[in-house]
Amino acid sequence: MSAPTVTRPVVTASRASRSGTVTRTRPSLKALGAGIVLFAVAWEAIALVFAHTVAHPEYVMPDLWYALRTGLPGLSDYYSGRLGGHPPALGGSQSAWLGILALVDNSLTSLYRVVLGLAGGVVIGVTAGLAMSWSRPLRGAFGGVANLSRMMPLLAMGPLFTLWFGAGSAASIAFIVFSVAPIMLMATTTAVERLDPDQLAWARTLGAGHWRIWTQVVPRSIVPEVAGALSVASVLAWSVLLASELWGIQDGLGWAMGQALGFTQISEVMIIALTFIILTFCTVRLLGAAVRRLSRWAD
Amino acid sequence: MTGLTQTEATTGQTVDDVAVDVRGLTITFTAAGKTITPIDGLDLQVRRGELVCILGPSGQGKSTLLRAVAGLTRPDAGSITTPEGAVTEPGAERGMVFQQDAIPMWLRVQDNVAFGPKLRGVPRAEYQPTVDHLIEEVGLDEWRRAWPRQLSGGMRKRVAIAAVFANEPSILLMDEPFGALDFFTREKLQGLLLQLWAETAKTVLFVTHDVDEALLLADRIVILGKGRVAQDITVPFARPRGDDLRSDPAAIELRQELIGRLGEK
Repeated sequence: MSAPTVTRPVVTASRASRSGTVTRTRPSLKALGAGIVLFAVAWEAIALVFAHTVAHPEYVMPDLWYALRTGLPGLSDYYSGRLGGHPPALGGSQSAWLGILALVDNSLTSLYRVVLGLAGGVVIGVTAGLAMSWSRPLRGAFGGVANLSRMMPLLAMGPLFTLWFGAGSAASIAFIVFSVAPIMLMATTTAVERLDPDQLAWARTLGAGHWRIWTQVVPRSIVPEVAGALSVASVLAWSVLLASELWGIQDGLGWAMGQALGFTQISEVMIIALTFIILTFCTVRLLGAAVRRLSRWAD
Repeated sequence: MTGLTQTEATTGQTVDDVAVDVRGLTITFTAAGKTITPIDGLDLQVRRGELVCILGPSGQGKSTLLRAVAGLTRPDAGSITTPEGAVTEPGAERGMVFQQDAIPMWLRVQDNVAFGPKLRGVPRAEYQPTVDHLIEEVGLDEWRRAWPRQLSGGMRKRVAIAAVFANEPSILLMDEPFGALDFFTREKLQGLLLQLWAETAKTVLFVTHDVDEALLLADRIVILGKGRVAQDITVPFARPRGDDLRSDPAAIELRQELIGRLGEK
């Protein structure tokens, strides 16, 4: 038998343009850094304009240094003291260190809710999607409703979840599950629809029963298709969390942001918003890395 | 009709000889408001260890017949029986190689070949020696840990063939498996199939539209027409059949005759 020939594509078709040059679909770290610098410069320029046109620019658009200088200590007011220190809520005074602890404390609370809500939404959505793809009656009964649920004005539903589940983590987690699950469900059913029927037939002719096909073959085959929806779902989870924590809940980044907004503490709001962005970015990147590992067999 | 002998496929066989017994098979589809009957009262018997090529142009029900034997298509009438019983659904005793790549792209070569036994819960110690032997035999030893996307079309087909043989079916169904491959790759894979077939003595139903391929591989050539077996021909040439088949006057005559018959359909 002669030596086998192998094709090892240097770039995948989706990443290569017709001229043969590689077109990136994600910005490089350098481009990202340049974008952040540009944004900061633009912010400073606009802040400078406000500084010369309004009486209290710190309540409209403070410059970045001012925001950092006053915002961090200001965040001390939103610290429960759980991680140590003596916050203002317990009779202490504001400090940058306590502000950082406030950020970490509330971030951990929010992260806990997002992780549980996202995991729950993904598991429920994918499982329901597989069940609906497998069963025509289920698809008929719930397919239309699931599709309609995606069109709901989600953020308006936040107060309802606080009413139903109380002003705590359960409301946030349930709200995230409710938001994420339909997205994952629709992505799963679409991915299963697009599977090559011969791939499933192949497994059946090797002796796989329905259970093995739907628990072992189909889930692994659809990972690359579902990956895009997972990225959207992770961003949505953070948005929904923010909306949830604004309603009655007494901790978390969304709660701190709501309080800071109520007192027009723009510096604090800016720092919390930045934290939100960083956490969302990290979540998307981490999930992306996990999905890339799971689907490294695909193009 | 030089070189042709009509087989006595439906006569002179004991029940124990028959690996696939198709009787009165009818399959009907509805597509775009039209009813199509690609298989219409078809009878066919295949003996154990026989390599039968089903030959014919597109749309004559070749693949439909094969999928019905695999249990992937349910007949409207008639029956398909194997020594394991009536065919009602797919089973591991009837392995199939598809025309398009159907192997799981998310399994490395070695896991793909072991896929069937794993799915059926066979202990690793039992299947691993067979898997190792087959990977070596199909020439993919160096590519055990490669993903299918890293392989050429011919190599992926070898993975599929090794995977089917590793599952140890008694009947092998092949639906134009080499149709999309270039001439040289196809020749190599035909040789590989014959080698594995000779070693394992499996019953093979092989669908093709290529007369030369059928002449090289088949014990019998079955031509379908109007949903039934139009011709059932025993190939008289001794094995191994090599390049000399192309220059053998009897083979050339048989080839012309087959092409003529296919043209009549």
